[in-house]
Amino acid sequence: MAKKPLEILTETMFYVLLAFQAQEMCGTEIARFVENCTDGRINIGPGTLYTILAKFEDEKLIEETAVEGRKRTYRVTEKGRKTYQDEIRRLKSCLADAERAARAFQPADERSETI
Amino acid sequence: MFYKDFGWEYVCAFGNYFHVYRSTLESPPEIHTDPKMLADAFLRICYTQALLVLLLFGVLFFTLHSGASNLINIVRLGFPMGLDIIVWAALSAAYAFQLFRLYQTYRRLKSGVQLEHSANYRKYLPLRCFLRIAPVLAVVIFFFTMTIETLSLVNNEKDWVEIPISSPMVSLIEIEQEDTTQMENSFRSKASFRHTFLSPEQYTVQQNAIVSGRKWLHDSQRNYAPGLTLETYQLRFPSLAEPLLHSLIKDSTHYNDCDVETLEGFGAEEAYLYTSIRHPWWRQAFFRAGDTVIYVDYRGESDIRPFLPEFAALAQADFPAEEP
Repeated sequence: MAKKPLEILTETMFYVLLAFQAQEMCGTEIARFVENCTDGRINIGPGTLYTILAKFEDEKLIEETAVEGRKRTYRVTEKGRKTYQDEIRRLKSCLADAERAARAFQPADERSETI
Repeated sequence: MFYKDFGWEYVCAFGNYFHVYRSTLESPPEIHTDPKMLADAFLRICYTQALLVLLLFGVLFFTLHSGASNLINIVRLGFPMGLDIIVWAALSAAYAFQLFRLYQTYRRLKSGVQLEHSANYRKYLPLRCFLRIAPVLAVVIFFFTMTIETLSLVNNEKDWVEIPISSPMVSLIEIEQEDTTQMENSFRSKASFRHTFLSPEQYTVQQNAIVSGRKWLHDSQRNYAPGLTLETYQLRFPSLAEPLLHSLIKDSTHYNDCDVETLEGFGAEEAYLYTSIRHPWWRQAFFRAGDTVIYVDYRGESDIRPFLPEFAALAQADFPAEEP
């Protein structure tokens, strides 16, 4: 069965892509980065990470830069950066929509207090 | 190798999909932390499994409808042929059940539920053992039954016994009465007796002769050589008689190239006479009475009709002794 192309990043995928924005990383570094970055809210197991990295490599979002023994290091590609930026924009717009909707749902008196 | 950095050591794989890891850490990290991503992997397994199930049901369908294992051969050759179908059917059902379980797991993962950590390997152990053994068993039985078929139906001369001219009750010599004297030297009559689970009593009689000095009407170059084959089956379960009769008709006649006549008054529940349109000298009669099915195949220029009551009467007659 042909693999589905990536349309929307899952939360875990997003954080993995985020990890690459600063520097090149290997698997354990990514897992540690995501755990620290989310204050332990998100832990990435090796099975999930392996699948994500393979998918990202297939989609040319990242590329391998070095192999030392069993340690493989990857960096983000131009396409990866663009995907990350698009995702940031999508999330920002989701957040803006949610805030606008929340304001619309608020009773009029509460709204004036807030203002 | 990747997993080792996380404290997991590779042990082995089960098929192409399931990989086993072990860890000496007190609380090793989860391997799969995103059930929805794992669900995609399970969906791919489901597709592959579905293809396998389709293939197995295809083989089962083919086996049921091919000459190798259809009802006639199960009746003729006994349980091994039926066993072949049973194994294929069980294998198809087991893989279909496994597909159902995989799909259930996929649905659970897709809804965000993590896989359980404590897998009970004893659960469905007999089923899993069967899934491992059955494909080999099915192939072995398939070749075994093919060998049986070849041995007992085609070439095994020792299964056939020469029988005297007076057997069976209706002889080719009687049908070809005007040529009796010319036939006797070339006359061959042999019988094969078999005992299977579904048909404990059954025999086939083949009689052939060459009539000296006479040519076929439709081919003046060839000597007239009539032949008679009689197959008689007494079944363990009378309810099998009807499907067997129709399997025999389907297997041995050319539907679109025959005149079919329903015969009445033979004391049989069903009786048919098939006459080939293209080869009018080829006639086939089928009788079903109680637990007995009779098939007559006559290739010759005599009129077989006067003898049909005698063939039909075989259903009520005692089965002949095996040693003539």
